[in-house]
Amino acid sequence: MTRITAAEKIIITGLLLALLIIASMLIGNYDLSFADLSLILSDLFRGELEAVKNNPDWSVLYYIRLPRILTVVLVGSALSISGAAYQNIFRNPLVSPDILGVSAGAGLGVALGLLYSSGSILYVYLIAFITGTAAVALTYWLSQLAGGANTMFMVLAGIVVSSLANALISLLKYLADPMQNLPGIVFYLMGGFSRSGWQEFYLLLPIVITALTVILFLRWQLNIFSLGEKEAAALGVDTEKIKLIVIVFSTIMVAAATAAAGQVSWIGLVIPHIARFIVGSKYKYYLPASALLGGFSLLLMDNLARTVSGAEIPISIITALIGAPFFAYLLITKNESGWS
Amino acid sequence: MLSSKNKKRTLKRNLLIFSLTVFLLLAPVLNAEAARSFTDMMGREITVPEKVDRIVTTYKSATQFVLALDAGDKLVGVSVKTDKQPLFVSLQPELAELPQVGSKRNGINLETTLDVDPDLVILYPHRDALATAEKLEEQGVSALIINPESLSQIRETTKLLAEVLNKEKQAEEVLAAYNRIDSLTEKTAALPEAEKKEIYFANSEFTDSVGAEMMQTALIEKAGGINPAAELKSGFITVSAENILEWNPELVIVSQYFNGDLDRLAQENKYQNIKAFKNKELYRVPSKLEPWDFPSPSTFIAQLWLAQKAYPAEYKNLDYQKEVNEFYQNLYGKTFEELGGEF
Repeated sequence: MTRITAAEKIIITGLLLALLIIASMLIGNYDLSFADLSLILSDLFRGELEAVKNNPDWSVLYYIRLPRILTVVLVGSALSISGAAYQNIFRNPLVSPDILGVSAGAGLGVALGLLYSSGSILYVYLIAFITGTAAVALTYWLSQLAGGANTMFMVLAGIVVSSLANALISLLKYLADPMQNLPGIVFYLMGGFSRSGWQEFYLLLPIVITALTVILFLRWQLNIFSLGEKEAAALGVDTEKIKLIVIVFSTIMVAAATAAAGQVSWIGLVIPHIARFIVGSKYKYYLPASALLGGFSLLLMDNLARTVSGAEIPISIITALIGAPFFAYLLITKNESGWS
Repeated sequence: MLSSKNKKRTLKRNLLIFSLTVFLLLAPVLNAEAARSFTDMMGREITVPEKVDRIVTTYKSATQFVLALDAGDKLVGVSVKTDKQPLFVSLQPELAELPQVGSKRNGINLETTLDVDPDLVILYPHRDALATAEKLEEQGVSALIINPESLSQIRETTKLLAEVLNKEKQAEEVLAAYNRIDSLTEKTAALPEAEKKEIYFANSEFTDSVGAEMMQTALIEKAGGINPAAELKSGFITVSAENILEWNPELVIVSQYFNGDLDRLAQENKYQNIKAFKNKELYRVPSKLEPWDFPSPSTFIAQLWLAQKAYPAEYKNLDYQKEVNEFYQNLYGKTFEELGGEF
């Protein structure tokens, strides 16, 4: 084990993810035999695009299975990266994207969008963005009012904002038309990928790439952050600015993930721990490892969600059933959080 | 030089070839015209093939409308727990074996749905259905959203679905069965306000009720009662025990899916001064075969049940059991008792 470097471990994880994506393409409730697949492949290979286009098997693969798989990977990555970033910034292994009110804020936006938009899903995304970001801004502002740079104040302010957003979601549910809008909101917030298509994927892709790049770009400062905020400031890091940038970009990712797939719990909390356990807490490795592992794990779970029964199993049930015990296991056996 | 006769023949032949070519070219277009257009109950313009032979339903109510319209043999996929519905299994045991594609609550699995190669998928009416319908249409499958939440929408659903499934004749019988119930309960529906009884409806808990614009409220009103909770607000509502004491209803009915025990409820101290409790007028909406207080083609029968419970004197000449049996006979081709229903 000790012979394998962190970089190699990341490459192996990447390869495993690629393998899982290919394997996921081959499973699903729409029955595709090996012969069906090889027909599509050979048509593709021979450039007979018309034949491929008219093949119903292809349209299931291309419009349903593939975009769903890729969206799941992106959502898993986005949640894990922001979880990793939050845990580092707050030097608290129990911090997750939910803690600053982002998830609840974005959820509120989804509910608002579903109630007051005339059906356009893009509009729902936009409002989720706005309310998610507004929630984190409110958290930040409240904590500044209360005690300034203290992390504890920020976490407490996050709890306040989360409760407020959740109360507003409940109010909207109470006011919603019980036949059409209420089940729609409940369904959407519960989370899932049953309808994920290319639209969701193309919405998430630039956001995840941008945010990941920005956060990776700050890896040096973030590494110092893990020593403690005071120490980092003493070493010349503009802690307030770094904190703000990382929080904003993590928030955008969570808001986008929530808008695309509803509230997917546990991934943002558990995956960064596993990543740190595997590659250590050096940001350069820890962040890509979180991204890859997040995509890998969520894809594995969503494969269960869509194939275990004929219908869909809500993804949050699976993430919680696997995530919570795993987290408990980590807490008990490995008293190694990397934060010393 | 061709003779004029030859010329004529060539012309004729050319004309034949020409018209054949035109016909062949147009054939696909003509075929496309054979597909029919409808507006579904979310206001979406949809096209449905001329013949619908493979149907997937995504929630209980949808399955029940298909069965009432005598198209159950065309079902190739159904919602989850269809095998646990006594009415469905009793009527058509094969339904228990069909692939279950999802539910109104958790959405549908698109791959499972497409795997059974449907002509038409009938979807639940909430917002998520719009996106799901779009995805299905992208795959060339017609998607129809029905919204049978009120009594008039139940009629509307029956008519729309009958047209889509080419079952207009069966729909006439079903609609006639609905009308029969309306005509039977007319006399109490027309009672003067002062003589109408206040009827309180409880959902899963005793303080869970329904307000204005709800199907259960409409049932109470058409049976000749007044739902006192309707003055509060529309939709599902949670009321307080004090509200119920204040209303002092003469009759209490609880949903078939009421969570509590009716006998224990009748003993509760705080409610003993309510008229319905004093006179032991607490009833659970039938039936074990299927809940009549849920929107479905069978819902109308609840109106008759309630009317004769609330005003027994007015209905002493009514053969209630015979009417229920006939109602089921008209809808599903078997009487209530043949299907395993109990009075």
